[in-house]
Amino acid sequence: MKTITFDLYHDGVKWIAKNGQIIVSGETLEELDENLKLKLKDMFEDEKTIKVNMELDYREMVPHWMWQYHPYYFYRTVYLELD
Amino acid sequence: MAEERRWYTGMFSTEDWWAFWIGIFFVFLGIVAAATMVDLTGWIVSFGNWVDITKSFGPAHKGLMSPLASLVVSYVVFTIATAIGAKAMGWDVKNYLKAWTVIFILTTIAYIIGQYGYLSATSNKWEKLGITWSLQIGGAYYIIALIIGLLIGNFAPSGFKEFMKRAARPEWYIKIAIVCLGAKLGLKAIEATGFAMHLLFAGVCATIAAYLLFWPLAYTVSRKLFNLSREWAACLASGISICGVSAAIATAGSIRARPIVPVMISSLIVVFAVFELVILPAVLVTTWFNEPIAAGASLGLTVKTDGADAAAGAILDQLMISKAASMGIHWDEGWILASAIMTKIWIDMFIGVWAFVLAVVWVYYFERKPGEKVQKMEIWWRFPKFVIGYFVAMFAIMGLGLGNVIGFENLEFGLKPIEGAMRHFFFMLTFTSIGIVTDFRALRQEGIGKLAVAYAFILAVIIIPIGWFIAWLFHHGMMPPTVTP
Repeated sequence: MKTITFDLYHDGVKWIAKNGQIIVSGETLEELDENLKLKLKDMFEDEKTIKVNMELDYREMVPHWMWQYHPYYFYRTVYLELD
Repeated sequence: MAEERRWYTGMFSTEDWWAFWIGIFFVFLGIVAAATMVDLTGWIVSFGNWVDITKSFGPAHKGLMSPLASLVVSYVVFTIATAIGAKAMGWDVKNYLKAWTVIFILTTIAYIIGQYGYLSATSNKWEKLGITWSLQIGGAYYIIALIIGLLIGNFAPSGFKEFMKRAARPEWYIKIAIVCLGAKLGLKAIEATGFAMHLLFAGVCATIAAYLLFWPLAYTVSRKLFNLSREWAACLASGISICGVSAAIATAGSIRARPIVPVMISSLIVVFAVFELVILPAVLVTTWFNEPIAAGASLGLTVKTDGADAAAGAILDQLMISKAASMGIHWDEGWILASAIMTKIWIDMFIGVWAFVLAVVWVYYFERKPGEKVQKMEIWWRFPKFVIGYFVAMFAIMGLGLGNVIGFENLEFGLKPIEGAMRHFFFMLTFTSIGIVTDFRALRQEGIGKLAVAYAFILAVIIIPIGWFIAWLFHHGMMPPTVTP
């Protein structure tokens, strides 16, 4: 199964997933996942399921003074059915 | 660029791991010193009560070098150790070193002032100092360091404040100090194994009771009384009932909340934690002097953030010991602090499990995100790594001593500078740093009003009263061992 990893951001309005080649957004994580599914379907026609890892870019999203309290924010793993 | 997260992710890039590496390095140095009887740790600068300022500080092992030399060597060694961590974590090392130097100097000044004999010496030290009275304000040096930090954090020009924040890392410093405290507990446990184990297990029980009571009550009050959404209520409940900022971040991450949620809640937590660390020790020494260990444990349950809890525990330890000494009772230093830390450490350890439980409930039941899988590895990723250092230090030293691998006097020779002088100095750095990062103007942020009222209400009506009861339930009757003055 193909695995793709994204950096995740939130700009105050919507979630944004980026990995250099692909940028997808959604106001909720469900919407983001749906939009990601559509994008990946176009790019990987032969894949039935793709494992997608997303980690919130902690250093971009959380102020510097908070980093010392906890090592990271979240790391999502979603299995997207493309067919 | 995004990379798949592994079990070792963050091992050389987070403060949590670097507290482990630095703390364990110095504890190991102490063990090597103990095994070889080569003085590898006696250079660490130690501050004591004085009336003659030339005697205000010196090496932990008297006579090893001049006082000024020990201060300079301590500065150099601690600078190198923390700079290695800063570089590995990708900080701007040049600016970190400048700010760190200022914090080091301010902390040293606060320590010297706070140890002035007429201010803080307990009665059993008067004769040695050649004085006949003192104010006996235990922990005065901590308060002075905090005040200096708060003055910078709240009144300094914003450019200077931001500059100082580059090295004002209270959680990092206190975690290093807590690993050193593990060494202290290890030494203490050799002499009082039963008491140390009792403290360990009482802490577990208190923590479980706290999790089961605090969180549901705090969440329910947030939702029903203050009408907060599930997202805000869950993060606030964790922040206020578990371990403060780290719990708020862990919970927010687990329930996939927007980053603004834990950021705003965390701003409140650090401000209220400072109020707690100033007020609660004074209240406890006045009202609960007859239950010193329970009082210490209650701080671990009620004061959020590791830094503020350790700070409050250190102040309470000094206040209680000073008051007892004035009555002719000489409690061993550090046990009341240990009880405050122990409950907090158990709380910290369980946050990974709690965050995992919340993630499962949110992802699989509340919000039902199809296709998303919650990984069990979350428990490890969120586990506080400095706690590993604390227990490794404690059990390694206990094992070496109780197993007669290294004699107790040798262990004291190598490790006392680490668990005493170094630990105290890193506590002092924590106090100065807490002050610098605490900006009371956070309470004026837009939207913070209702959150602040909810926080204050839950803290005063639920967390503190129940925390005191749970602490009493599992720790009442426990008294610190005494020492010959």
